[in-house]
Amino acid sequence: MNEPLIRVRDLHFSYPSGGEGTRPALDGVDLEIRSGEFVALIGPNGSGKTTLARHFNALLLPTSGDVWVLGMNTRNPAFRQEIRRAVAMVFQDPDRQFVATVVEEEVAFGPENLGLPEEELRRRVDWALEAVGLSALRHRSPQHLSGGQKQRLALAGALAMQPRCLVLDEATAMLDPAGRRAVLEIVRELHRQGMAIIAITQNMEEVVPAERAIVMAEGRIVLQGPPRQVLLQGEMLHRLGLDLPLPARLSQALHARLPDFPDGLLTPAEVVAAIREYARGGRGWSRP
Amino acid sequence: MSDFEVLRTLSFGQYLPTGSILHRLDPRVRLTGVVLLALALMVNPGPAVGLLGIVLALGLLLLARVPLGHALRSLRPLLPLFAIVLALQMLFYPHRAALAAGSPLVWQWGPIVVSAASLVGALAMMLRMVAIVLLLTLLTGIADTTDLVHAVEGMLRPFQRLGLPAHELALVLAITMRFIPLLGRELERLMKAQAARGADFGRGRGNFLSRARRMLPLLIPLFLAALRRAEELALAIEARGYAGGRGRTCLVRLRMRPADFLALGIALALAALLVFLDRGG
Amino acid sequence: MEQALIEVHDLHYTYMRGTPLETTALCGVDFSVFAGEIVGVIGPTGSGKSTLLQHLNGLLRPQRGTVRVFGQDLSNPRVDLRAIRRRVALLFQNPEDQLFERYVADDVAFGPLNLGLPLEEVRARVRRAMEAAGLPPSFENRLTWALSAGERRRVALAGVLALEPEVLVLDEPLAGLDPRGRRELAALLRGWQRQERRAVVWASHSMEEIAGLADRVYVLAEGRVVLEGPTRQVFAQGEVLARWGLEVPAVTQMLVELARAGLPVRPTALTLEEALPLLEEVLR
Repeated sequence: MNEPLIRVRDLHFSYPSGGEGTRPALDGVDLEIRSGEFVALIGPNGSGKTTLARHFNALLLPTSGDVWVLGMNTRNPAFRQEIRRAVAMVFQDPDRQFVATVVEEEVAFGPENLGLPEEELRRRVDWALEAVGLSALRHRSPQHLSGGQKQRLALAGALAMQPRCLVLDEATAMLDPAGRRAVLEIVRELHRQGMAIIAITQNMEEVVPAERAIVMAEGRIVLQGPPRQVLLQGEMLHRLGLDLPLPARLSQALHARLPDFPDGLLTPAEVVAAIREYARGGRGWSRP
Repeated sequence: MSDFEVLRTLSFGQYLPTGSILHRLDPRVRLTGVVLLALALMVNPGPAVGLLGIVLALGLLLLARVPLGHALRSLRPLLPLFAIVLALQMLFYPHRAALAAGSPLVWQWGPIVVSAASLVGALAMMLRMVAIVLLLTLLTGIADTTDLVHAVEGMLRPFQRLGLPAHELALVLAITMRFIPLLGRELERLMKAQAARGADFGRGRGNFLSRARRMLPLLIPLFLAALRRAEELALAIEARGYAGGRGRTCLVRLRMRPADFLALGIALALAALLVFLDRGG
Repeated sequence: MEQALIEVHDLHYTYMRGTPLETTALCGVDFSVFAGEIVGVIGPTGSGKSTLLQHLNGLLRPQRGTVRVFGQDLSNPRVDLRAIRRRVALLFQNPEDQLFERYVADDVAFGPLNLGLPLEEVRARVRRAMEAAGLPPSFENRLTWALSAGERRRVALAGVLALEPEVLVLDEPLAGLDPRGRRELAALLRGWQRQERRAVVWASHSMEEIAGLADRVYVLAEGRVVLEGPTRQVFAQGEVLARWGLEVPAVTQMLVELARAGLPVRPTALTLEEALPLLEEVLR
């Protein structure tokens, strides 16, 4: 089965409100996302990350170029609901995406739109709430949940569609560390179970567990590859105003001072291990 | 409460989950029953109707286990309205005709006369207003936002076949009710932000007009905030496959039970009683 | 003993008190701010940070406990709050949503105008404030609605700086910015503080953010102060912080792990710059 989950060909997009002379939001993007892939989409504000993501579920349509989801062209209105069933999205602000006044009805909203029978609705709602750990709060009002709980609710609403791909549009940006950790844990589990994840994030630490990192700037993809490769392009990232994750910065700085120290470490665990290893070796080691 | 907190109380009435038999009725019956009674009160101008309406409302409130104090407190905003009603009655009532028909004179000052009939009429109106407000308090006490939205949607759904966008309307209602407290909080934040830069919103500072004028700079950011929220919510709704009410199913299916039909019947009977009782002012 | 500019003692506050919807935000908070220092207030969302901050300029009045600002007790209804707000200025979270004037200069001028200052002084303050917020003079006549979110935030900041306060209170000032935006705004704020030598209260839920900035830190959780003291001291208490769902800066965490593994590092560093020489020493 060679058909990619999402295929983007020569995508150009300009917002209708932009006047003469404004740069297009997307200036020629080619991209393929495979089934079950975990992709991190990063870039400074205004680089087009969110605009691109909104083409994946036909919220936006290309000004020129094409986008296919599971082989369906997003321009075709007949495919729209099927596309939105396959690609689910969680937005940044938890307060701005809720429709219902009761948690379980909020989760049911998506499947209800698909016209599923009552027993199936009930089954999906129960399953989705279980997956995000909110079963106990099913009769609560979404307004009374904490930030992290709200985003988990949004996740449940997306999961209930049983999508092939989950798009997270800076979904953790407004959460405190505890809330963020809870959401990321669920996302990782979903990926383990085979769901494709597209995570738009400003938090470089969230890029590390991805299989591929895509860097955007000014409406184009400027860099992509495994996180290890991408995150080491320190100069380019810095020019774009992006930071490296802390472990990378630290290992880079140590490597500059101690050329034998490995460069390009991405996780705190790797750095700690490398330091311990180096220190052990260094104790009996004499410099030439 | 601080100057700013009043806005937080902008929730849709005060829901009191006491678990009474009224609470357990189908939400459509709760809504329809109360609305029927309120309409009946509005239709019949007779003086005794107001009194009966109040008795009915209090009885229902008792049945709903709504604390009396809470219900009576909801009448407080009415007091200035009563004064207006009285004044209007005094000004526009056909006093001379009433006097000619035998109504006693209550007060005279130069060319202005006030007949007893006008006062009775004003009293009747005030009693009806009290009854209606008590009924509204009852409604919000026994039905929360969710219930009301389900009720409206349930009642409109049969008309969907005729082309009425029932679910869309219900969704608009649900979102509006959700947004009111959200925007209230937003307004509170805006007021605080401006107060932090020296603006003055305190109560008692200047008359109503000047205070209203001071609120104008808040309208633009509030309007923008509302628009932004609406836009984002629309995107989120679309992203979840919303395509209008056609072909949609529902997790919560309302079903009328015998008790519901009985309650509806009683409400109809009571409403009819109110409409036809003692017609004629 | 130096006199505190702001002294909060045993502060309690409950929203919607007396209604079924009441929520207690603060239960017994002690807090103080001294001249020229940067005080961090850290806590997860819902810990009461914003509530505390809004007491510092009288937007909220204490229900129990005292708040003294420049010697004045804010429980006293006769206190001139506008005079207080001239000296203690608060920048709310996501302030870019609060602009309401058409032109940038007009919005920045709102504060000074409310203070009743003469027009010349207002103009001068607007210019100074915009400079401090990193906005060139050409921005004066720009339309606020045509600016980017980052630029609007700076306009909001200028609007608060134009009050030329003695204490600047910031409620999550970097929230929602991209990494470059965060770096730049943090640098502007630090620059302002260093130049004017004013006190700053900085609230955030990111310890990473506060690490390199604050001299003293209060950790708030569930309406109470659970830790308080010089930044280094507080950040060394990893277990207490973890209990409240807060994470010490990643750098500090790494040092703690290394120390636990037997390496001779003291986990006192809070930022990368501080950690480097420590690590270098160990590795050589």
